[in-house]
Amino acid sequence: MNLTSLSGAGFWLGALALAGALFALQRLRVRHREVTVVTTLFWRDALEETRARTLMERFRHPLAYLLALLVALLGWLSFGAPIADRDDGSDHLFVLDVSAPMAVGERFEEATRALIDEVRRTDRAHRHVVACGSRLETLLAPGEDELLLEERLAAVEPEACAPGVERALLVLARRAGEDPLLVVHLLGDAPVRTEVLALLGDRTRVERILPAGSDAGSQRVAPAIVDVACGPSASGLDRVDVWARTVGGRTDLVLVDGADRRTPTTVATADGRTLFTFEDLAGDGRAVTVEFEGPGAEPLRGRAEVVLPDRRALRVATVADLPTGLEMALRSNAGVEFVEPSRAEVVVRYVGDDFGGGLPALELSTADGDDEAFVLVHESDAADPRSLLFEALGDLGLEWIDGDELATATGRAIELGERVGPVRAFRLWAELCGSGGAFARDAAFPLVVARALEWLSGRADPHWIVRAGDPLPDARAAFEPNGAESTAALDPVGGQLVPPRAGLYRSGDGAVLIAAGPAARPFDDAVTSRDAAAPPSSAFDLANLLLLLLAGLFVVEWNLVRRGRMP
Amino acid sequence: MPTAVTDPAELLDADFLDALTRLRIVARRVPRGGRFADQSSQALGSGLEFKDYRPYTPGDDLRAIDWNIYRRMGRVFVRLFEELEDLPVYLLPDVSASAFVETPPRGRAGLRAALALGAVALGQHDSVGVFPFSDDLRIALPPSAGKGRVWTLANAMARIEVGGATDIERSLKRFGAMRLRRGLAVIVSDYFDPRGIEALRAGLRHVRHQVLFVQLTRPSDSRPDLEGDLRLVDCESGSVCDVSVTGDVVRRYREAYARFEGELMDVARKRGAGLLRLDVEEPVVPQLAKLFESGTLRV
Repeated sequence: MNLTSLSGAGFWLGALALAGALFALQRLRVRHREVTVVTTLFWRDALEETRARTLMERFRHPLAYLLALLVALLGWLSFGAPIADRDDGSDHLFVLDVSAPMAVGERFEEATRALIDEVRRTDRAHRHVVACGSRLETLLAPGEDELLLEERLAAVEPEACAPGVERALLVLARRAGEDPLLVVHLLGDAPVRTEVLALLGDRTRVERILPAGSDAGSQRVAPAIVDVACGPSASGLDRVDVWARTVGGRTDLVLVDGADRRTPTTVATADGRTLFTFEDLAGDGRAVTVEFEGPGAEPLRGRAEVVLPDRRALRVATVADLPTGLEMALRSNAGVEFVEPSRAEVVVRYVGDDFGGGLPALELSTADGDDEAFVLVHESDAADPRSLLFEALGDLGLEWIDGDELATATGRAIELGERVGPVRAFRLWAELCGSGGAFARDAAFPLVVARALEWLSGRADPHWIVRAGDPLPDARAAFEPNGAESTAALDPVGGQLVPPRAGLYRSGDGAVLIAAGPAARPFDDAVTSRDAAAPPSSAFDLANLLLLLLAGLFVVEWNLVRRGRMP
Repeated sequence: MPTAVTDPAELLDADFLDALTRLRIVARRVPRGGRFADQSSQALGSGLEFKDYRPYTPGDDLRAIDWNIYRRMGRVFVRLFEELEDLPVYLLPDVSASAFVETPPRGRAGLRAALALGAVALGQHDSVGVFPFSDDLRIALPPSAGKGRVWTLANAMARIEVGGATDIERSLKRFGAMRLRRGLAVIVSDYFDPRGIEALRAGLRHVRHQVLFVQLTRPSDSRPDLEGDLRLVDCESGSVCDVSVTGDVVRRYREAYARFEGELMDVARKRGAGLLRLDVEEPVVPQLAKLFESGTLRV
């Protein structure tokens, strides 16, 4: 039996206090009303012992005390709202879903209330409570008091992550071993597929607890933004389109761009999802927000921020006598605008020139001046040179260069080096960039030049927008968490990185990833559901039984007092 | 100490006296040695009612010789007549504190009952004495006769000082030690001696008189209307008794009281005495009248 209104320690402390108080009351002297009578002769004959309650005399009415104590304890126990203990010999694992869908409405609060009630009804030695969000967290270990659960739940809230209950089930079911039977109680909407349940085996049973009074059992899909993406727009090179997909059937998604609220250009529905297209936005790197109109625009589900790619032309200033090959590569790049040095973001010059002052520069060196054909100059010596060079291979496209051919053509070893300098720069031999230069003839030359300019400008790559819980599209991307929300582990060895929760992720060179809201797939749920036993009603029976017993004892006591069997 | 009443008229009035004129106390046989009165005595003398014959002896009154017998039988016999003497009535009212603590005080009804019996006795030329008692016996009025002494009797009763504990054994022992002429002792009391009926039994061993018990009762004696946690204080001894009055305690009380009444009746029966239970909350004379069969109380 568990108490819903009192802890075990609280009950026993209260019972002890009641016993002590009643004992003291039994020992207190009765304040008698003084009456003068003609004789006490017959009263003395008739008198039972009434000195039991005089202070400092021996305790003479243990049975009366026990009856009073029983009455008081029954009342106290009834106040504790006892409920029958669930002790069927099996282990009970309560999995509280704290993924983003639980942030909608009162779902999380209802689930936690149901969880507390269910846990109280379960034998403490056989219960285990975990929160399942971006990671598994034990909220109550076997044997711990449920008061700890309430305390720990106060610090738990839904995370911006996809439901991970299936992964948790696989992990926890393995941990459960073979005996005894493991009953997994799911609290939340996280769906579980049939094939996952099949992996759990016969010794594990999964059920979903539907909080009393909630409509979670209707398998409804809460309106939510599933993912958001950006892409080039047909209306111009510097224009972008934004796409957002939602579930739940709402069609009132808008794009908030500062004070401007734009409605979607097109709305299409397919496979239970609605695709909204917002066309022809200026690709200038600013952040915009898509959200539902009116209620339901919660940050995790009904609102998502996206940073638009900066697709404006790169402003470049060059010295007059550039090698022909390089000159042609620059001129052919539609994304480059030649401007005066004062307006430039990047300058192209020879090493040693002061053209452009402190701006990032694509610098031309000579084979005699530099040993390395390509040199990365960075401002801070704090950066890890090996990491910098490694990233440069991908960021600048140097990996696409045919180094052997260049070495053969120049008769020099083609090497990549790094320096620390006052401004950011990318140096390469001028000899490689002439019209007849080996590098200028390489198919990767214009790409390297273009990406070098972008790298120098510091403009971030177009933001990848993926759903939390899905792997990143580029397995080699290694991101460093940035900000309090982002705690994703890096994956420097090149494995797939699955950002566990939504947030802002920044790579070493400034690339940004926004992991959008989680997906909702409630339709393939294979878990059977049951209503949570409402604590008041379940406690009602036992408490009422106690109250009836208490009333019966009162009648007995009243009768005994009337008959003079009890003082 | 306070007196029983402030004015004798509270005990005596015309209606009271008028109601008593129809009552009479008749003794079966009074012991000889008394004065001439209305009661048949054990003595044979010069009364009016013929009783027996006996042979003449020198010195007998010649007027008592029955000459008709002499003529017929030739022997001389004298006629004997029943001697009429008085019945000494000793009134022993209980004037202890218990008799005067309630309202109305049961002692006052007891005094009226004693006065009534005394007035009846005086009315038939019997002598009446008053011996109030509480923790000891006192003499309020020595035995005396005379119809005109009713007021004196009332006055003596009104002056009786009341209070003190009840010691019935000691009082009766002292009464017996007075060696009074045998008569009728009327003990008017609630009999609430701390030692119970046993004290009465012990005291009566010293009393040679005919006894009439008048028990002063009230309804609350047998059905107490107390409840709750009480400290009962004995009005005479001051001793306390803490009691939580419950149904069972009351039941036991009533059993104890019934036992007490049964013992008192048993004492009266064994003594061949009368017992009158007088409800002090009801008029006295009508209750006394029930004691007098056809207006006569035979003792």
